[in-house]
Amino acid sequence: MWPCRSFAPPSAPAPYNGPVLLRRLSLENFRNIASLDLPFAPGRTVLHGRNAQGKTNLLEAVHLLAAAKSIRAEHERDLIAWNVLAGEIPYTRIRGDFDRGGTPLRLEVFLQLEPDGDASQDGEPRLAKRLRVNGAPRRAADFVGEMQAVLFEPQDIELVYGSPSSRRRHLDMTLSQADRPLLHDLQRYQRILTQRNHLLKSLREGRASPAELPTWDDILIESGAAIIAARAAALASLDASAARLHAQLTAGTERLRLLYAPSFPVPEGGAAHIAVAFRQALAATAARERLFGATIAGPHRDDFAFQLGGVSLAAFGSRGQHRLATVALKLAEAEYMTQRTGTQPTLLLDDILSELDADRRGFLLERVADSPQALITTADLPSLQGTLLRDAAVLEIVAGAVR
Amino acid sequence: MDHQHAAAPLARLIDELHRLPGVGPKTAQRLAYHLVRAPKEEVQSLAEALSAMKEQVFFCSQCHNLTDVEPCAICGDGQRDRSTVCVVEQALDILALERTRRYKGLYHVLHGAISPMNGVGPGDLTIAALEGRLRTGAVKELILATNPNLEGEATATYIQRQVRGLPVAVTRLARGLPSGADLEYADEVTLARAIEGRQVMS
Ligand SMILES: [Zn+2]
Repeated sequence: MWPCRSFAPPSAPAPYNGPVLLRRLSLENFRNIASLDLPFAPGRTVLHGRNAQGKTNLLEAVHLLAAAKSIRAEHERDLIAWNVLAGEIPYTRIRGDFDRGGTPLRLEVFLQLEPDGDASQDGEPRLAKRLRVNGAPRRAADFVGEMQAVLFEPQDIELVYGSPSSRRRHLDMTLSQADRPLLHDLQRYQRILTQRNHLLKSLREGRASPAELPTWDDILIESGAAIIAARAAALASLDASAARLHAQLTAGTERLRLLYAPSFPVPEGGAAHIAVAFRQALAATAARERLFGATIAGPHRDDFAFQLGGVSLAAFGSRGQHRLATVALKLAEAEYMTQRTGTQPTLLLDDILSELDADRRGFLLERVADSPQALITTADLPSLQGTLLRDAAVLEIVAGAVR
Repeated sequence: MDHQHAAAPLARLIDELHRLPGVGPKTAQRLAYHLVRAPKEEVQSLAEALSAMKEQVFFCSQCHNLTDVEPCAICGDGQRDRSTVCVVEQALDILALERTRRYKGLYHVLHGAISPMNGVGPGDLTIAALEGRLRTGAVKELILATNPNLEGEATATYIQRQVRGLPVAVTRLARGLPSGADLEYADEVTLARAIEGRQVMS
């Protein structure tokens, strides 16, 4: 194969190892927030208010500026507030102004229902997403990770026992912030997979020749092996960090493990060896592929698993164990981003402190104190008194507005 | 697009224009209403140009480029290097490459790229004819100048696999072409560099 990588545009950001600090957040029609323009200071900001007032939405908006897509797989059109004026096309705008070592950085996400576009497959209006960096349009692969963020939220525990696709999505969103070549590969792999699956269906129906398949095998293997190699390396790093953090968090003796569970046995030794194994896996699944008209082996079927003391957490863990494992994972993700890019991510803690006892809360807040910027929501402000948050800026959120 | 209130011949014209690539419903309407207001001679001239094009333009039997002479001007040019063939997806790509004035060989137009999604397989392209040209033994170098997107790469990979074993060196345009770009829109400097920096496919 020729070096396809040479087609990738230069995407590595200029070396910058300092923090990327949120200085101002502006929202229009974002969930329950009609309009908001809020300055932020470096360090810790506590957003408090009763539930369903919009605190979570603020954190979700900041995360969207890091990852260019919603933390949840649900339809992104739900991000758009529906209380827009009659006759106006529903849209939402999220704008963050950041300080990147003295250089201003403006990130914008604009979502709009297509005015007279065709309906998408599910019959709903299509959503147009526009991303801008300092006013210039960017593709997602050239936008993600301009600023990095790790979001802690109560639903994190679902990662332990939820679907493989939700874990895969979470891992890809996290790693992509710190690894743009991986994001390019993931997007490319998805297009290859779509083409190859169409071909498999055509073969099943006798509308294509088997001579077409080896070409798509070659392209799929090359792209997939790079993704698997990147995921294996990242998970090894996350596994080591999470185990250490979990031990500190629990003072326990049982080791937490994050184990890569690829769709076929992956050998050591990098992408070239993985490619050989991938080709064998395609050969082994060829008959079933033709039957189902879909690619069976490959990184689109990858998963990872949580183990504690050699036992599956999904099967046997308690809710409290799930919580501590995911807090360790999130802290490990922040370490991974810092190691890989030199820049510490913004920490977004959504109502997570109330899920932890005093000791664990103290440990997490020490980590928060070490990070250049953190946004923390709580419904219970008094519970944070006497903690490391005493010097934090405090904002009250009521009905989608700041008081 | 709702144009049921337009006069029937006008509605038909809007439908015809809307079928053209890159012409949306709004543009189709705008063009149609422009033609309604245009002088009769102008519209006549356009209609004649369309039918003359359809009657007189055909595919060159050698390279499958669009031509009004057989063989086409490039295949018929005795000055060109007949040992090199550059494979492109569209006839328009030849215009882009010719503008660079760097390339003196011949071409082969595939008229598309492999895309199972869109139901385009190798049999829908002129790949068999290309293999026929290579079997004559006159071609020593094959330059694959398909677009640097997934379908272009798949097409290049497929051709490379097909011509394995034939005594022809296969190279691929590489450096400088932005990912996802179309050859048709690449600027001359970029394209000239890409021709010079083509790489051997192992
Ligand atoms: Zn010709």
